[in-house]
Amino acid sequence: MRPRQVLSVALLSFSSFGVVSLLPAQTPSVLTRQYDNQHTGQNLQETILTPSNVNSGGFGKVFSYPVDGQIWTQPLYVPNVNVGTKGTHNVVYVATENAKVYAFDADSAKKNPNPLWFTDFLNPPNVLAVPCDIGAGLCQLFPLVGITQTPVINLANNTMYVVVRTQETAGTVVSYVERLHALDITSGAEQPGSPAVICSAVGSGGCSFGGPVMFIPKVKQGRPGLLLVNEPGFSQGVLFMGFAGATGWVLAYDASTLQLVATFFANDGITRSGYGFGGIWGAGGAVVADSAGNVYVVTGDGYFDSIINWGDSLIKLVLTLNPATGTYSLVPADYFTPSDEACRFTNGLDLGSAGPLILPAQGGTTPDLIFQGGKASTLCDSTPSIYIVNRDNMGHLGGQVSLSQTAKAGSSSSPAYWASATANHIYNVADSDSLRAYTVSSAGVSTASVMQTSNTFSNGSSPAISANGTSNGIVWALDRTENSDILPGVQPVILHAYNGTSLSELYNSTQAASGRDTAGPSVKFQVPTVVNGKVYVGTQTELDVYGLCPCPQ
Amino acid sequence: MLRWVPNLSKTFGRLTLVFFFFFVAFALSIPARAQTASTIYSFALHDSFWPEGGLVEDASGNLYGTTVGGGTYGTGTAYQLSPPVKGSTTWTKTVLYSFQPWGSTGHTPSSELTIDSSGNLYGVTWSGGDGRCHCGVLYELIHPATSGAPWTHLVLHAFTNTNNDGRLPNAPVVLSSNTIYGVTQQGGLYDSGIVYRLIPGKNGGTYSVIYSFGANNDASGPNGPLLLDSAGSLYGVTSLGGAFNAGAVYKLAQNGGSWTESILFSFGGGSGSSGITPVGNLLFDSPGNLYGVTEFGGTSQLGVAYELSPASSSWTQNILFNFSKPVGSSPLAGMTWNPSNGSLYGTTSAGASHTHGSVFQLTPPVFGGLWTETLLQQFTFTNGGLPSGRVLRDPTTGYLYGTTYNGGVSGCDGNCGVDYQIIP
Repeated sequence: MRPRQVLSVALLSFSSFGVVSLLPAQTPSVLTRQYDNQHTGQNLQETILTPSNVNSGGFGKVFSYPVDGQIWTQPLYVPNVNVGTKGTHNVVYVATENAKVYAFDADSAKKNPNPLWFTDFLNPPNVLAVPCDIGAGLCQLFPLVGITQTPVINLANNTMYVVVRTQETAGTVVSYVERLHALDITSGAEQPGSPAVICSAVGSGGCSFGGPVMFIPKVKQGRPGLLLVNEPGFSQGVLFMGFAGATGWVLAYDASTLQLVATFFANDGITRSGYGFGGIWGAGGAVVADSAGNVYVVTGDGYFDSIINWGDSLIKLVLTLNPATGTYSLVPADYFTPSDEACRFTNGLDLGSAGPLILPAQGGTTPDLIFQGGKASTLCDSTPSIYIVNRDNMGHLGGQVSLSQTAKAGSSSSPAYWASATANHIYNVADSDSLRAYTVSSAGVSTASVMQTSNTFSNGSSPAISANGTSNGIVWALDRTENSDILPGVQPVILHAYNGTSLSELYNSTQAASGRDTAGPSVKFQVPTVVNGKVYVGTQTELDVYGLCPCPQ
Repeated sequence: MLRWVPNLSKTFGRLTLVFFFFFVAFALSIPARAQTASTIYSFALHDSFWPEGGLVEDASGNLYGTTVGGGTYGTGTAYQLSPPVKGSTTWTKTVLYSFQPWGSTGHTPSSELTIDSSGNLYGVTWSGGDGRCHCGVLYELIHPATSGAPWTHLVLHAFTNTNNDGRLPNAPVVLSSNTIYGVTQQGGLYDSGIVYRLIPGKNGGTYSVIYSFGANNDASGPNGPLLLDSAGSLYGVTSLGGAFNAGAVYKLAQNGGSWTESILFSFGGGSGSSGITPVGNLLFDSPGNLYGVTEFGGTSQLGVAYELSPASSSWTQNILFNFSKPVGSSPLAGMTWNPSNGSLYGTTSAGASHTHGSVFQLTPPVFGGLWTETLLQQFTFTNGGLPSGRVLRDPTTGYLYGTTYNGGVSGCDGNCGVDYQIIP
């Protein structure tokens, strides 16, 4: 039995799709990355876009908004937002790597060509987004790292939470700062008590949260989308945020007070000197939660001992109250680690390159499953696999429920889920492979895919689903076509739409003549936001919006 | 002052060159000499990194290039690489300019540079510039009057994506008399790219969009620099569009005040055997044939080198060489003439013995058929990888220079890249 104090408090289900207590019924929102805390990637309230009207003859790019930095975050959407003197709008929100948050009219750039509001966290030349070659280096995010974690919106207090990373110069002193901001979604203004400094340190210095590992903002890159989770004792829920860079971290903040509640680090770098890591990224989707408030994080390469080092593992974290002190801890209550963990560590094959998917209960003897991809190679396994894990008993080392086959390189993206009237499917895209669907039922997940797209994706993709309940399912996926080693890359991202029951292609953004639907250049981590008849796609340079035509040239 | 870029249509005719080559190779029986390849500069994370495109050279033998990353603000640099002084073997790198991620000056350079007769440099950036569009700029780096003084950065045009202007310039510009021509990958009337012209002058000079790509089955998405012929017509390639939506070679001819586009060749025919996704610069030979490469297509679907010959209706294609993994694959830049023997130099971004790309030489056949490839350098990643720019040939020494985007010193994603020298 896990050590947890349970409070019998009925709370709102934060950050679930369509939870809009003060807004008209049937008006959906997208408040968090991949649509809900389980990262099912689905909007089941889409009544406008259907397989019959999504084709290049009647669907395409309807408008776009330029932005000043790359959009690695998923666009978020709230209908009927009262933006003061600018009236009431359906609003799409985007955050950029150049540390800006924009609020755009979600329906028409023609009527509202300028942002309804935007918040700039910079003050150049003294306060800048952090150049990627600072600290952790490598520049897998390039060239600037300002806001990478998809923000999360709490409609209960009209607040967007966003983590911003900056480089701040005062004279000859250069500091690196991570801040948690709480913005009023109607104006972009800071809420009372905002921002909270997560850590501010000069040079390569860091902050101690009480353990043996320092949190060093110079190298710490937040990548997974923020998660707002209903936890007993917290009126507005708890924010969970994951970080990569040297050592993986999860920080938990009280969404009401912006106070740090608890921390977890995935690797101490001490037990085995020189070996650390366990970065938490999952292509932007490494942190998920079940409806009971348990948080699951997947880690990248790192030393593993199942005590304090959790490289290449899927870990269940339980926010646990110590009644004696009144303080909280993030307790690793259960975990799954692939049996080839040591080989993965040696060969740089992150389990945590792909985000986990918590599946809806499927019935049977093992109803609660997690679908976990990751990098793969025949170096470590003769058959590259996806792991199916029982979240009620995660099996520890090598204890998966079953394996499903995947392409040889594995994946660096996240799957999605949809239950049609006849079958439940998981949609997953491995690198240099087709988008494939696996069936899932009370008997578990199919060992092989049951259908696939005719085209392949060079760098994987994190799909999204739009459907009207169990009907009219469409799988949406973005294709970054060019060599992944060339950053930032110059080719437009391609938006694909497939029939959810057959994976036959309905549409892609290269079909229309005259470059009508050409999107901006692609980024990684991006997930299309499909809501209320529109598809919102973040790129390096602009937010592209697709919908039913007329589609201007 | 701008200068006319050397027009290779004025070089020796190919047939003449072929004859000359064989005269040298066989009649004179000059023994073959093994080439020497070396790394002349290794980029690093906290310096500048990921050199983009090729290099240009001034009259003193200094090389100039850009890096996508690094510099003072992390958003790229323009640099000079000076040859070793007497008694040394070390090249010296100097950052001429660090691009700023704020303001309107543009950042993240996206092409190699172009140099004029005064030593001034011209280039484009992928981001920054116009405060609303952030769609990149065309800039000039003005050579200092005094040696060692700082270079002056000047924005010549910030792309706006309004009024049919383009966005996202992705290729070096070409200079002609007092005019600059260039392309953008997107923007314009159909968001499929444009060709622009700038006549520098007071108040920013005269900027105009002379063509918007993308109407109907038009070429779409310029994917390399322009080539200017002696009549003032412009030639280039696009990555998409054309009859098979797999890219095209286009010509823009000026008639009075207007420009007319024609597609000379559409790629993708023959199930891709003609090549897919043309990329990089084009070259002329003396009879007026065009030479270029594609990134994909061909017998191995990993690119081709091709020749296009003018015909009465459309141009006809001759495949010079099919790239493949063993011999180098997927070129990302066009080729360079060696006028001394009529061969072509180029790079492949991947493949060859170590899978990290190559520098190749294509030698014309005696009696027709495919050209013969000689691998001058096969990158090992330690000495570079992913060459993405064209080869620079020093006309005096015949030495070759270029860049690799990856490989070399670790620290950057895919490592930080190198500049190399090959003595053929």
